[in-house]
Amino acid sequence: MKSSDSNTSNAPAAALGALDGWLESLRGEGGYYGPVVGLRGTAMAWCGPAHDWRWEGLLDGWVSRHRHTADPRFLDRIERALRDLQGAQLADGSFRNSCFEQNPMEGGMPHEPAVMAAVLRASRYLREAGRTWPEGSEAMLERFVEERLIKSLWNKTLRTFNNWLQSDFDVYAPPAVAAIVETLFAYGELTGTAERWTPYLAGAAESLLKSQFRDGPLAGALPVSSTDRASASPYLAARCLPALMLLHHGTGDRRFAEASDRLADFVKRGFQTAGGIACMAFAGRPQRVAPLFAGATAGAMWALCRAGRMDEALWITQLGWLLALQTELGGFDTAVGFGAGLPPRDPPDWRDALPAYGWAAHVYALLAHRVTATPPCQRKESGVVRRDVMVRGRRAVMSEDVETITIRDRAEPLYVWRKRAVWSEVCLL
Amino acid sequence: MTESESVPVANLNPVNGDAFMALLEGRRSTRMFKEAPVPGELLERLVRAATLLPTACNRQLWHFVAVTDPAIKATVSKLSDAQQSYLYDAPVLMAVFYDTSLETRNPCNTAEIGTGIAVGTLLLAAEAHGLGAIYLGGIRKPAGIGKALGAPPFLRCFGLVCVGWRDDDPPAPNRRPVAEVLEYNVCTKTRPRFHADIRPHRWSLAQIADFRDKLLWYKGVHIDGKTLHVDPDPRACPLFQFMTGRLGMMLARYDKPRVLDVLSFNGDVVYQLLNAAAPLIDTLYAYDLTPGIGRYIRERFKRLAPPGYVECLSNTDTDRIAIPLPDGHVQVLSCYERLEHFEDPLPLLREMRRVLAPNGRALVLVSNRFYPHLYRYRRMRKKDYALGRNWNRGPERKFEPAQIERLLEQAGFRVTAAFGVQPVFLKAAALLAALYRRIGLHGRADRVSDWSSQRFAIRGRFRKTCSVLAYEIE
Repeated sequence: MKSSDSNTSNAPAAALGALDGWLESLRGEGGYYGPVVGLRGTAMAWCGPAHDWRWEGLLDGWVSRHRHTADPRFLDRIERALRDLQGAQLADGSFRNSCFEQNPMEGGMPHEPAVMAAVLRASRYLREAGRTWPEGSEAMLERFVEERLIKSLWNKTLRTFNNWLQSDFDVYAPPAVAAIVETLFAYGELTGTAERWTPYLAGAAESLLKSQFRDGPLAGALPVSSTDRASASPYLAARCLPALMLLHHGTGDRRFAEASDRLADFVKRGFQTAGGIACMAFAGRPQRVAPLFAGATAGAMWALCRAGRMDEALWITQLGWLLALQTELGGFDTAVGFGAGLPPRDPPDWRDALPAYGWAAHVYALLAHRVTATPPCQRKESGVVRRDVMVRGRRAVMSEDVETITIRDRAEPLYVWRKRAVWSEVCLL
Repeated sequence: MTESESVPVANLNPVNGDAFMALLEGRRSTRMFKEAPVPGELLERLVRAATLLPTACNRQLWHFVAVTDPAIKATVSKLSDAQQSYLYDAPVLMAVFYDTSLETRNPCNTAEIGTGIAVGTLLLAAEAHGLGAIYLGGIRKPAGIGKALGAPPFLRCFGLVCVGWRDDDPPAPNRRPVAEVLEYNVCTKTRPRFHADIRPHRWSLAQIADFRDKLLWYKGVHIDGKTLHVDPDPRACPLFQFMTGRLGMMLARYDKPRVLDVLSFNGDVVYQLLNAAAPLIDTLYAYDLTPGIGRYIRERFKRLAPPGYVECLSNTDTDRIAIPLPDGHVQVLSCYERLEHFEDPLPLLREMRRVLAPNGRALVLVSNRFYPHLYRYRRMRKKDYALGRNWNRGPERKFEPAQIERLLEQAGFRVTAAFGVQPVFLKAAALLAALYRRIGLHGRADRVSDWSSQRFAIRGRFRKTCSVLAYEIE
């Protein structure tokens, strides 16, 4: 919003309403559309309905919003989401287009279990609210757990879950394992089959503990890959916090509480005083701060909130930084510091400025959790945001209106995406 | 007695013969196993069966070690560089050795051959007892198996067999017909079809077709997903993503287009299109040279797409390229590094032009001859270009940009956009970033990486320095 009222008390509510409107404006057949700006940056051409962690943010956000507002439209959205996800599931339990910046591709991690965990949380909420599940939802969850998690990803020797089918055999990804732990806990609870998953949960839990760094600059962190002993992503590590807390509450084992204490300390060290969470932390060198992803910052904050470890001072600084990244149409800049690093240059890199759906959905979950007011969904029907951006060192103009996102270098279009289209029309980025 | 005078098959103990043939026909290599252990008694029975078949002079120089301890399996896997997941999943990993101490300069390798016969029998015995088994071929360091198990040096490892209770239902693999492998009285077989030559002019179309068919089924572990080797999924690479993006933008121009992937092989492009654009496509054709490849793709897509969604086409002629589609039938066409198999790709390009609708578009990717493809030279040195020696693609010819552009023009195409993908300076940038990291300049290294990551696909003059050339044509 680039607004001056980002620190006033109603700013989060206004931001939430505008973000809700922006997110809903990208609703199309089968889900929510939009390009993904990531570190690889190759997924700008395909903008179709992805089934990555955008659903996690949306589902958690809708649950929170219904809890605060009792507006039945949020329950309708949850039901529609369950139908969309059913339509995207493959026979082997995985989901089409669940690989975020590597889309279009199935089997995304930790996206798929993270989405399923959110589906289970939302499903439980639906039941509590007196709604029935859309037909086929149980079968979808069962197929995911049985065919995907247990049959395909469970590694009997390591006694944990591989990251995906093509992983090297003895490698696993703690953030993905943590998401699977959440899924199995919730699935067992919802279906009354908790006992069956105990051996899997026990193995996965031990693998999480085993992978945690014990000392040095990375003390408390969980790496992105179990074989990486030199770096960790504060954001992805933060995603393991709720699972560790679940394991502590579920088993009564103190080791998980201690592990989550250490992890929460590591995550908090990643937050920058001026706002944002560091991109990577390393054992032998200083953190790589840039780019500071808005969605990752919100995701880490949301994880701290879910684990009951968010403190107010952190909340205030980070929220102010986040809200300053909102655009006039309601979306959020993806990051700060792509290309030139920090402090960011003016104009920013196009990857900073372009709003990405999957990241913005993280901000939505966070704001919806905290905002108890009932801001209406402020969907903009007109308006254009124009900004100068840098594309490979050259100045260009990015514009977003209700129908398109474009980036032009003088007269030449470098990127044109008509919203709710599966493919961009031009992609020369 | 000649073959025509032989005892009629019907007179040969038909019950046992038929049962034996049924056992052989039904045997599959199992890659997914249930957790239940194999009883020791049953295992001993299998080994007993394996030792009943003949060896030269009845020397019986085999030796078996059944590994059931997961930790030892892990050591075997690491030291032998055999990373297949089913190695761990199978309750029993049978290491098979042969004794070299009693074999003195025997030119026929009888100890090894006898052990091979025993392994074959072991596989059949497992099948007959309701078990599943697989002989592991992809072991890069067989000596490591002996080391892991503490075997003395005179015992040489023949290979590994996984044994357990079957938990999969793999499709039947292709087998060469008897007429192709059996001759009477004289041997007329000429040079093997799968030679180490990568020059396309040495290959006929029939040879290329045969190679692709067999290679696919040989490498065909992609079908059930779970049993992939540790090769990374090619669809995750930026080159593939670039191609998908360009192809998708073409698709978006049409309302429910018919799409043809030329020489689909294992169907990776089709797989990607299915993920990305299934609802947008009317029919997705996967064309390749043999019906066997079509069957492979159908098997692979059983778990992914509704029946009939992917229509598999095979070449209708053995001597020339002939895509079995009417003129102007498809709106979008993809050809991902396939022209390289032909000394003269013009017939293929002309067929592509014929089946493409007048308003249709195609995306053609080819390897650039000017790019220093180091892998090619490494493989040539190792003579890896023969079926069974390594995963490879058959004949391969790389093109100069001007050559391919001329060919496209001759086939009647017009180039609407040309890209270079993976410029050579990416390698230089990667080296520079690594150098910066080594001397502690991490910030600079990050900036170099960031700079290069934005230059994966380029247009203009410098595209000629790229690994792959991509042409959008109409």
